[in-house]
Amino acid sequence: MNNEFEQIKNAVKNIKLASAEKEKMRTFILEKIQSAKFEQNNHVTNTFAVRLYRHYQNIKNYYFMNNKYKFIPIVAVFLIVILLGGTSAFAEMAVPGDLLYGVKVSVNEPVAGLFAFTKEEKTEWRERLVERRLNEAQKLVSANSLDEEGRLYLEGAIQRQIDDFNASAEELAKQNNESTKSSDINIRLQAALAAHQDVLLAVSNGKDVNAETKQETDRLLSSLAESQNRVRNGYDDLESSIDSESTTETSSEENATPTTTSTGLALAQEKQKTASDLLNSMKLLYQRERNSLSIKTQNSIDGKLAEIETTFKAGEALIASSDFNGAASKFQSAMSLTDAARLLLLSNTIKGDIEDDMGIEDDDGQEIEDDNFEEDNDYINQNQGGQNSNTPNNFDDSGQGNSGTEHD
Amino acid sequence: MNNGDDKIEELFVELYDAHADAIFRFCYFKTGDREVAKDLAQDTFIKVFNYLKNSEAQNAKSFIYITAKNTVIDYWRKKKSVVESQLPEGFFESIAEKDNTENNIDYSIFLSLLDKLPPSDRDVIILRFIEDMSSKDMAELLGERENTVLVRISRAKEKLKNLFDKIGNKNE
Repeated sequence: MNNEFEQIKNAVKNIKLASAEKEKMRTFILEKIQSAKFEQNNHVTNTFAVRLYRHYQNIKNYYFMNNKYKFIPIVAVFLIVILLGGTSAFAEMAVPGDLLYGVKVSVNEPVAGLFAFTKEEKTEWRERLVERRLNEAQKLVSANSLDEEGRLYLEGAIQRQIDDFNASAEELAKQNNESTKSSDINIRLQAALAAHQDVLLAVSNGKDVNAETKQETDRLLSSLAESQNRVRNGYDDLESSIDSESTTETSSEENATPTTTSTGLALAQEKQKTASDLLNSMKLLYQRERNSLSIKTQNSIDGKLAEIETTFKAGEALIASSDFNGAASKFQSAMSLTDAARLLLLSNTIKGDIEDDMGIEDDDGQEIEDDNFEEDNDYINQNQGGQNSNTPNNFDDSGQGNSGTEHD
Repeated sequence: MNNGDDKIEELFVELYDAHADAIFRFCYFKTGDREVAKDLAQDTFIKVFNYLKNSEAQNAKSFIYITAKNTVIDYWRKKKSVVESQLPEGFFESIAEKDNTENNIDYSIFLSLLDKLPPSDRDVIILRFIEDMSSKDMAELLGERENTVLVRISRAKEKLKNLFDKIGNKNE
């Protein structure tokens, strides 16, 4: 019998703590002892720090030492993160009418908007929001599923977001004379609207589009044309207000000082610098995007750039001949031309991007043409009146003139 | 940290290293749950340390077992269990199945027989023959006189032997 007990004893003694478990338990107990000593030595027994430390020890003990289900909370948290992240990522692809579309516009976009801290970032984000709605319209039309409800929603959302954008752009322009940035973002939005209208038109004219989608697309296109006008009008209002402020300042300076020459020179030089910066920025952008443009568009932009250079040089010549008002007017024209060239370039670039995203074959290689901006040029002509009416304009033949745009 | 604290800590670590497995096993045999046994063993040693800080234990081994026993009783009380030491059915048999050491056939029979013993007899068998506890320590732990404990050991051993013989006869 004793022999059997020996066997049992040897076998049962295999039931023991694993060396790692034993070590962990010893460490835990000693930590607990140290913690108790700390409390005793410092005469603290129930401070927040001690309670926190105890909680930490308990949690650590519970989850990482004595709990056989220790990985369940970790896995649960991991799964929740994956689930939420996945939902959010899938929602990004949603269009109006989809189940996850609410997540996209009510969660993703407000959260992403929180990361736009400066006024410039906020304005850019609002511009992006309009582009997102335009992309959704593009997807709906391509999928042959644009109905009246979807169109009305998109029209409303675009109008609202354009109003927000205009307000934001105005704030940006008035803040620290950031009208150049505001103008850049505005041109980007105008370009996006033009590009989307062009692609939407091409898609809706395709063979595969059903009658309802075609009808709704036509209505949407008409609404988008109005939206583009709203963007441009918002920009014009802003420019006019900045322009009038600038004129008021100049007039008051002229009244205050007997010599108007120095003021006129300063104004002309300021416009020269802004026009030069804009032109350089345009050239850089063109250099980067040139290969993605058709030869026709390249030629059109090349022509515009040559025209801008000539206008700019004419402005410099007028400064040399002390005709500062004339010089300022020329630089203003150069800026307006640069904006038009930028709009043309961006419209075609964005159009190319949309076609790539949608997997649309650009069979006819048709690009947005310069003619599409005749309205811009008309607008430039209209606005060049006033201050430039007394200045001979060598570029009237080209249909270009001053937009009254202030870039400083 | 002063020298007195150091000594207590050294003594504690010695006691822990010497008895941690036995106390864990003791708690395991009383609860049937490895994780619960770990918790109880840990609580036991924390109580032991707190006791050592303030007073000297005459018989450390016995004291640790008594503390473990009380910790287990507290555990069952908190669980509001009807029967203390309520092991799952076939608990010892399952231990034998898990073990892969040599000669496991013989002791596995004994372990399965432990399931058949009443808890009080099982305790004395485990303490005496598996944990090698002296009758004096057992008396202290069980709160009985040493002679009574010796009688209980003898009776429990006899019961176990009878159970074993019955199995032997059946096999023959």
